Order: sequence, then C-alpha cells, then structure tokens
Amino acid sequence: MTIYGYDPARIVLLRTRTLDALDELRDIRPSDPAADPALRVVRLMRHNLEEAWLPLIEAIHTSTAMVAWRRAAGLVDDAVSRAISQLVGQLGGRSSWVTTAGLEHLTDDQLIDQFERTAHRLLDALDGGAHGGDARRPPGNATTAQVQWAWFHRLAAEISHRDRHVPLIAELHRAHGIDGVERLLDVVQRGGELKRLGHLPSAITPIGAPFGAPVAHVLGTLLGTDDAALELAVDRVTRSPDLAYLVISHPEHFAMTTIAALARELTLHVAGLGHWADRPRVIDHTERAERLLTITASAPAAALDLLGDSATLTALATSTRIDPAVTESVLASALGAGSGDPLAAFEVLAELVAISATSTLTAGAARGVAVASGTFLPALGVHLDRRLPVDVVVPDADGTPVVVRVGDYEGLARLLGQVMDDEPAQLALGLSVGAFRVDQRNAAVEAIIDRPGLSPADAAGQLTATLADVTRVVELLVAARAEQDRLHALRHGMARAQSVDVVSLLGSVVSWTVPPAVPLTRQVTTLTTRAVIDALGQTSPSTVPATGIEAELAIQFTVAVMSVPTFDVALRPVFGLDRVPSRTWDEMTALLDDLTDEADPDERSQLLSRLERLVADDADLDTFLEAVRGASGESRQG
Amino acid sequence: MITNATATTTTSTQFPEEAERLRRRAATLRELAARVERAAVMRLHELAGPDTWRTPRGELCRNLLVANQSQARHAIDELRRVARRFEEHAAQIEADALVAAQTGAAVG
Repeated sequence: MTIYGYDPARIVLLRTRTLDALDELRDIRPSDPAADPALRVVRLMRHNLEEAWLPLIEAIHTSTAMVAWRRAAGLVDDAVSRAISQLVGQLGGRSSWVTTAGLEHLTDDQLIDQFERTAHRLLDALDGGAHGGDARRPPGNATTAQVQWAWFHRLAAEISHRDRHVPLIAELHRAHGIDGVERLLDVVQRGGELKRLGHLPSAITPIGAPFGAPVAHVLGTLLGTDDAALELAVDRVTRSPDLAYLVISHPEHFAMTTIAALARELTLHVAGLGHWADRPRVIDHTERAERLLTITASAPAAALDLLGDSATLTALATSTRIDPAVTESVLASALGAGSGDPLAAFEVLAELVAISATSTLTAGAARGVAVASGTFLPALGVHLDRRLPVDVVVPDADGTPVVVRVGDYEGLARLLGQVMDDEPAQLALGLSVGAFRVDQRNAAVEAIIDRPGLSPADAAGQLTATLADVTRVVELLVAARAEQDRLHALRHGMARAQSVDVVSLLGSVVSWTVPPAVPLTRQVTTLTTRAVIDALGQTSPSTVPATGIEAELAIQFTVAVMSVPTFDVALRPVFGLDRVPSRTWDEMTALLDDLTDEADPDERSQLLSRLERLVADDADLDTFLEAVRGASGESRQG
Repeated sequence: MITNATATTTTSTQFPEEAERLRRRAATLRELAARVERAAVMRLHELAGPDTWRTPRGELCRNLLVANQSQARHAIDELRRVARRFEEHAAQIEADALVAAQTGAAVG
C-alpha cells in the first residue's frame, strides 16, 4: 500500500525556495530579440511554478496539520519561516513525517462531500451484483466497485488524518446525520460480504477483516457521539460479522461503551436470551462475542455496566457456549474494586443470588465470583446473620450510604455453594477469606496500637470484634456446602493466604464498607483462578482428612490470634501477656512458623495440639486465647 | 532563429559601432545564459524529492519542473551559440574593416 505524506520542515523550505525562485524568474526580462526563445522557456517555468507547483505547496502549507506544526515550531510569519528554512536547508534538517492520503488539495468540505458521494457510488456498484437476490454474483460492474473501493479507503484515510487536528468527523456527522452512519454501516456490511466472496481487493488485517484503521476511526467516532448511531450499529452487528471484526481489529478507535453494547448484543444472540429468545439465529457469533467480551473486561466500569443488564448477566452466568475464561474475566472485572461502583457491583451480586436459585452457574461464572470475592466478602462479613436478610451498606456515586439487599442468608449460601462446586473457584475463595483474616488481624493490631490506654480485656475485645467478621464469612461458606469433606481447596487457600509468596500474588484487598469500620488495605486486582492454581499447586489431597474442615478452620483462627502477640512484642503488655516467659514465646514462634508452612492436615493437627498445650501451660496465654475464642464464636478443636 | 545578426552593408565608419553592438549583444546573451543557468529554479527539483513529499500531485509537479529545466538548458545552449555567432560576426566585421583600411591607405 502506498504511503503518502510529507516532511513539514522541508515543505517550509521548499515553499521559501520556490518563492525565491519565482522572484528571480520575474526579474529575467531581456530586451534582445535573440533571447526570445529563452524568455519563452523562463515564462513557461514561471507559469508552471505559479499555477501547479505553488498551489500544491500552499495547500499543504495551510493544511491543518501544517498549521499545528508551524504553531508548535513558532513559525508565525514568513520572515521567521525564511530564516528557519535557511537553517533547515543548510543543516539538512528534518522533522517527523506527516502521513496523508495524498489529498491535501481538497478542502474539508470537498473531502466530506467526496466521501459521501463515493460511499453512494460504492454501494451502487456493490448492489449491482445483488439484483435478483443472489448476493454471490459478483458486482454488476466489478471494475467500478474496485475503483470506488480504493478511493473510499483513500478518502477515509484523509478524513482520519485531518481529524487529529480538527473535528472533521463531527463535521461529517453534522452534514449527513444518521443517514451517513447508515450508509457507512452498509459499506462495511456489503463490502465485507463481497470481500469474502473474492470479488473485491482490499488490505487484509491479521484476522481477515477487510477494513483498516481509518474506516474504524471514522465509524468509531460516529458511534461514540450519537446514541442513535450506536443503536443502529447494535441492530446491524448480528447481520454484519465485519462490523464486529472491525471493532475487534481496532478497539482503540471505539469507545468502551460502544464495544460493550456490541458485546451485549452478540452475547444475547449466542445464548439465545433477551430479545433473541424466540428469534431464529443463523450466524454463529461465539468467537466474535468472546473477543468483544474480553476487550470489555479490560475496562471494569464497562464490564459492570454490561452486567447491569439482567439478560446479559444471565447469559454469562448460565450459558455454556461462552468460553469460561472469558466469563471469568468479565465477572471478576465487574465485581472487583476496579469498577469503582460498589453499589452497582452489589446489585449484580444480588442478581446472581437470584439466578443461582433457579439455574446452575457455569464454571466461568463461579470463578469470576470467587476471584472478586476478596472485594465483596469483607463488606458482607459484618452483615451476616442467619436470621436476617443480607443487607450491605455501600456508598453511591455521591458518597451517600445506600442499603442494598443482596438476598437472604440461604440464597447467598446457595450462590457460594455453587461457586465452591468448582475447585479452582473454591481455592480462590479460600485465598480471599484467608487474606481477609490477615487484614482483619493487622487492622486490629493498628487499632490497638492507636489506643495505648486499652486494658487487656478491651484489647482482646478489639481483636475479637475484627476477627468475628471473618468468622461469620467462614460460617457462611461452611454452611454453603453440606459435604465438608469436599472443601479441601477452601482450606488450602485459607491456609496459604499468609504465605509471603501469596501475599505478593494477592497484591492488596479493598472492601467497600460504609462507614469504614475496618479499613482494609489490600486489593485483589488481576488475580485469576489460573494464577491461583499455578501459585498454590495441588489443592486436593488424595485422602479425606479425619480432622475435617472445622478443625482446619480452628487451626487457622488460633494461628491468626496467637501470631498477634507472638510477633509484636509491644502488644504483649496490652493483652496482659508481659509475664509470659521468653522461652514460651520462642517455642510459640517456632510452632506458628511450622503451622504456616505445613500443608499436611494430620501434621497440622499435631502442631496445633502442641501449641494448645503450650498455651494451656501458661495462665495468661490461656486466659487470652479463651477470651478471644469465646467472644468470636470460634471453637476449640473438638 | 537569429534576427538582425547578419551583416548589412556598412560604411567603414560604422564598422566599429556594428562590431561593438554585436559584441554587446553577445555579452548580454551570455549573461542571460549564465543567469538562467544559476537560477534557483534549476535546482529546485532537489528539494522536491521523496524526502520532502510523497504525493501523486507532488510527483507530477516535480516531473513537470524537470522537463522545464531540460528545455531551459537547451535554451541556454542556444543563447551561447547565438552569442558565439555574434562574436564571430563582430570579428569578421573588424577584420574586413582592417583590410579595407589597409587597402584604402595603399590606394590613397
């Protein structure tokens, strides 16, 4: 493909030298008749410079790109231009190449007019082959179609280029309105059909779409500025695979709202839901839907907006036709803290609770919910009560606290039970809960340190209160699965959450709680179940441990509580533990380190027994642990 | 085509003026040839190559200029050729005048 363009600095130089050359030629006026032949040649050169050469240079020199370049370079008048062009000439200076479609001589109005007329002519030429309803016949005038096709792309390239400096596409829309958009969509649709039939030449993008970035830029800008235009495109996308390919090939030219709207339409089409529930579907849009969904997932706010539509959420949560990895990425993106809208995220969660009451979640949906659980579980923890509906308080866009009913306790348990049916999801859920516990413990320590006058009982109460939220979440998860011997992945995830390598994997966790009773500081961002599995390895032991899930949870609670005074010497007096001998703390440190590293359930049970004997042998330690356990509801290993 | 360049019958007193006029005309033509030859327009094509612009119309303009430059070089050669003829004619006039003067002196 030919690249057109110019070097702005050398254009300035060329203009200056051309004007100088013309001045010089005008001064050549010999009177001797013998010089007449030479004078005719001089006049011819003058004429060509004035009538052909200079107008082209001036058209480029006064183009929007050059005006912007000259303004940036400080070339405000001809005197300065001449001085600088001399320097450029002497030093061989260059500037960044400005590409064009070679159409600098067209004014903006002429360019817009030609673009529209060429679209008309192209469609006329393309539709010539559709007479009689046979779209497989080549265009009535293939040569005309090919010429108009090439010209159409040149004009689109010039419009795209100029639009960088002036809002030319907006001007195009003002001039031709929704009819112009429809015509452009027609070109994309008809041209794409005939390209695949081999009747039209074109540049081929990596995925086979026949259109390039300039057409994407023009169409993307039009769709992003007019809701009616976007509606038109959404209506067309199921009939025009090339429209989806154009967006997939050049997503940078389309607003994320446009991409999400097209993704929604294709997802509903694939799943046969929404307004596609009772309509015949011929074309398989699965691959295009998945690619658009993946692009949408890269923008959490757009992903959340996509899931705000009930039919789309149902499609993603229950349709097995969509790749689970794609569904996981969309849900994780939407429900994670990156979307910045906890109110909308909890409304989506509430919708999922309702869906799980009547439908089975796909593995992708389960994993997406699990990966994002580190964000919403901490907010749920304080509100969990078996006797009451689960209402959370989150800020709206203005920061005003709003109550969202996520569902009843059993409904939420049912949702999480379905999530835990998928082992990678279960592992990710365990990781989130474990991280939540670590964060709660750290927050409690900070709160205790900030209040130096606390009595040991009050300090233990602070620790208890913050860990109680975790306990409620754990109880919910345990209640969600009747077969607790199938919760190995949950246990493993929770146990591993305290490992240094896992902490770096998790990054940070943020919870939406209003008021910020427990300011968490870590956020699960780009976590995926695949990353979790890769980091933590095998999650299913070959045998069922005799201790069961509750015993494991007791171990983790004890480790979390005892690590507070063990690893922070300054807190020992606060909890009334300053009389505990140092050798006891040394032994406690070793046991806690072993418990953190040990994965075998039976070994862990033995280590816990040793730890509990160590605690029981010291009255102050025993009092402390019993007080925290009793108040938080965590029971000793049975 | 050269006009007024061929010698006309002149009197012996007009010979120096005619030769001088022819020599002046030759000098004018030579000066014009040099002026056109060194004119900026004769090198303008160097600034209009692919390093400066790549557009169909730009290429067309450059080709047109190169054709004009070729015509100009032909015209320059012709100017110098005419100038040389003027000079040769002037020399012939001066030589004839000398012979005539010598013949007249011998007779007188």
